[in-house]
Amino acid sequence: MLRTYSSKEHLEQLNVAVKVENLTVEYNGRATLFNINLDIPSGALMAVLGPNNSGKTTLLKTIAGINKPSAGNVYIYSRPTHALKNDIAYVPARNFVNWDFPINVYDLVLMGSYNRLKKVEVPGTKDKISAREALERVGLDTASKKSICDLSRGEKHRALIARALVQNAGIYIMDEPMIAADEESINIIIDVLQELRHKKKTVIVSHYDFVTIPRYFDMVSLLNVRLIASGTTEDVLTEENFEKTYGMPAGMIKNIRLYMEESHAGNK
Amino acid sequence: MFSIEFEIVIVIILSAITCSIPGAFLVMRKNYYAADTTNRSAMLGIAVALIFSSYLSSPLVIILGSLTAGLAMILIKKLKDFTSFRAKGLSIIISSAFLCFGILIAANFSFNNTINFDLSIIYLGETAFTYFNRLRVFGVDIGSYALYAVSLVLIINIVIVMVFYKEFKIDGVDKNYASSIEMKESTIDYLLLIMTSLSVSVSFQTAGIFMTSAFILGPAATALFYTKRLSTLAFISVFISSVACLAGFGIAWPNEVSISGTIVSFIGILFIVSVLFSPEEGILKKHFDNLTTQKRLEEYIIMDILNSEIIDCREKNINEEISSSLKWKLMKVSYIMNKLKAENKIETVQYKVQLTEEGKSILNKFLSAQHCFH
Amino acid sequence: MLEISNSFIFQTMLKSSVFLGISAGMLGVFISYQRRSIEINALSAGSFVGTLLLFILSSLGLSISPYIFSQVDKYIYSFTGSILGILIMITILNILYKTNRLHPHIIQSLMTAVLLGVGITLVTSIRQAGGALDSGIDVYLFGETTSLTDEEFYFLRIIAVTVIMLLLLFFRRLRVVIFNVDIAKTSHFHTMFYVHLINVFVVCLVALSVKLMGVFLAVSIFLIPALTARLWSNRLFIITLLSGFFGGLGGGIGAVIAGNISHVSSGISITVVLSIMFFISLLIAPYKGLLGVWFRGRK
Repeated sequence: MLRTYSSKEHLEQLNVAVKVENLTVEYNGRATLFNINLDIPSGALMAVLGPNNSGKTTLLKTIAGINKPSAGNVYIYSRPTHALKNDIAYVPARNFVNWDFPINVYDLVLMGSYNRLKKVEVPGTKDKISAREALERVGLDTASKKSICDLSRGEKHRALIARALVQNAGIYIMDEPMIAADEESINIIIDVLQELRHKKKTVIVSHYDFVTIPRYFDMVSLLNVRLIASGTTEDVLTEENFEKTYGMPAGMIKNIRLYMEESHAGNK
Repeated sequence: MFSIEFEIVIVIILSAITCSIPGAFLVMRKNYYAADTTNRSAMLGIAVALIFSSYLSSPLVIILGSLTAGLAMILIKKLKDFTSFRAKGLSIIISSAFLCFGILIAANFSFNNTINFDLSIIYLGETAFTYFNRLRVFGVDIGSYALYAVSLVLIINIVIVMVFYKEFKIDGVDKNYASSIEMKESTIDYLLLIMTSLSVSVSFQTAGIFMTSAFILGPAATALFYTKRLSTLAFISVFISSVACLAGFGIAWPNEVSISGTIVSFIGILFIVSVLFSPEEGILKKHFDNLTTQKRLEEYIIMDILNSEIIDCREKNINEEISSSLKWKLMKVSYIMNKLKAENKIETVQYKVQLTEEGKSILNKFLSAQHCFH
Repeated sequence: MLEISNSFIFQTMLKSSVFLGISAGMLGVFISYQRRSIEINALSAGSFVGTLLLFILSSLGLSISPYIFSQVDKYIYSFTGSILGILIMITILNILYKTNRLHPHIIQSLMTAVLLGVGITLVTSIRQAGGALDSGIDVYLFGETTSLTDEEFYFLRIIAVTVIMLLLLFFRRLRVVIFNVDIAKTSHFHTMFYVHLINVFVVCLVALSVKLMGVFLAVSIFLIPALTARLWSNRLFIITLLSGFFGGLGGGIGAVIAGNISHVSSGISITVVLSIMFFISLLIAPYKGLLGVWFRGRK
């Protein structure tokens, strides 16, 4: 079975925010994603984990509506109060953004408000205020006039996330938002993710480091072209699942398991 | 000694081969803008040289042309480091600037008027005229000057490639390995720079300033569709350039059309034909390949759905259910289901449609091939 | 000495160069961030061949109107030929991109050179056949502002003004689209509208630019002002305005020079002026120029 829910009670009471049904994405004769069935409950803070080239970015992009599926479909259930069809904020991977672009941090963050405006409208005071608030939230308010090429790696991630915050969407999709970031930035980003969870937003994040997942996220999906498993971090992060996902010998995984159990203990 | 046609054709073929050698390497590297840039920048040097000499094959022309081409590339590199602009844009600016200054100089300051000089020769190339500049050794006419100039550059190119073959091969195959053994990337850059500048300066009289790009990039790019190995690539490039030259010349000469133009058109035709029809990498083949893999993938998808019991597999509405969840047309689903039944991959057991043993093993084989690990 | 004469032809030349310079400069900023500069070369070559093909077709008797070599006819053919040539070129390029063996830039450079060869062959074969059109063709290589007829100039003005206005009007949205298409797609609707809009601008302006600047130098009026402006500022809006300014200035000065010195064609003079502006900016621009960096190093 590819669809797994954790046994926790509150998950049954939540609605499903994103439903991925029989999704296959094919590129150049090769399947990047094969027959994925995944229900992401509303308000979940979910990590997507897998080795390189396992289709994490493709999955995120397809959920965000950027890629078209070859088979199957993705259903998005927006908040009932929101009129927009695609209530999704997408944060691309840092490497896919052109940081030489001549724009400063403030304008970049303000871009997040454009989806509320009509074709020729200009951002108003409310939008500017929310941009300022987002900048404060990620700790970049002093850097707002800097060009984006002058930011450190962690600051770049934070700027992209601030832009997504301004969008004020119901679903946030982030591609590797913490990779190679400094510790301060990672802490800020984790804070933001937790705050989003408190606000009952659905957050889907692709992450590379399986060690830190139980600390930062509630749910995790293991992906390697096919969906190996999906559910709460305790249920899913087993040795068996790891081997299926990473193809790593059991010995290495055992050590990681020990480490993860320690962080579990640390969490509780 | 030999007929006019023969000599001219030899010169053309030699210059095409000379150009295709650096081309074979440029095509696979990142700084392929060398082809375009060296073209246009050489114009400046050539124009300056033409102030002093009267014919296009003189060594001064070639030397100055190569020098300015090399100078342009170095300038671009320095500017790129300084302004952090992309090299492509800078190369366009610098090469266009050199080109314009070159043309201005050539048009206005040419002091030597022994030949009725039509500027269009420079940028279009007029191969036939190369015949008229003969080399005279001890009063004996041993062939046109161009012949020797081109042969010299060809030999230089071949020598460079053979001496540094190891470096070229490593660089072309795996850049990471190259940097790990601390092979300077700039060595290859400079070598290619030298080869390209020389080839361009010596070929512009046959091809003109702008079409040497086609001589450099064309045969190598076409050859890429037939092989991946460096040595074969070089041989196929040489072969293609020769064929294009012969064919182009054969058509152009009797009709008195521009020779270089027809040759380049031929290179283009060969390129497009290879892109479309190449037996390994051509578009048509890839298209059909993709279609077959797509079809097979679709079958696997349906087999996987039947295997995973997510959908209620009772035979009645199975097709509709699958088609609605996959967003495929009902006909397509029915067709595939029937095909799978016929191939004995699925069977109906007690009103449930499920995979046969054979179907299951085929599916598992496919699935294990799909996973990608480090 | 240089005279700004009051002749009507000269005024037309000057105005057309300035209009083209402003609009091409502004559009050039967007093109350079989309990394499509080499593509413009290929499109110009396509335009060249397209016009030639249409001329050939027309001389084979397939003209629209019975007045085969009249002014009006020539203009229609040349402009539609350019546009058609560009569109066909775009199609061919897109097909060639589908193979993933070659970098798109290589394909574009190669096709530029190849199409030029095709064009030259056609030109020489027309000359062979004694066509009456050959006098207009040489101009294509390096451009000549006097090659524009009145109708074409009218067209140029309309297109240039439209491009400038729409670029300014949709500036914020275009900025998002150029910056990152994925963000654009998820953050507002009609991303493809803006992408197609830019493409339409490119096609129109390249067709016009080829007439004024010639096949090889058509790129320079898009790219050089854009890179020059990037040396002066760090905000896209200012860069766009500056680039338009530099383009217009270069176009104007270049046209004046070309009009007064007989040997020099407009494409060359405009490119020379623009390059000089670029090199001067390299030296003196306060933000990124040599002097600025040296000065800040001193401090």
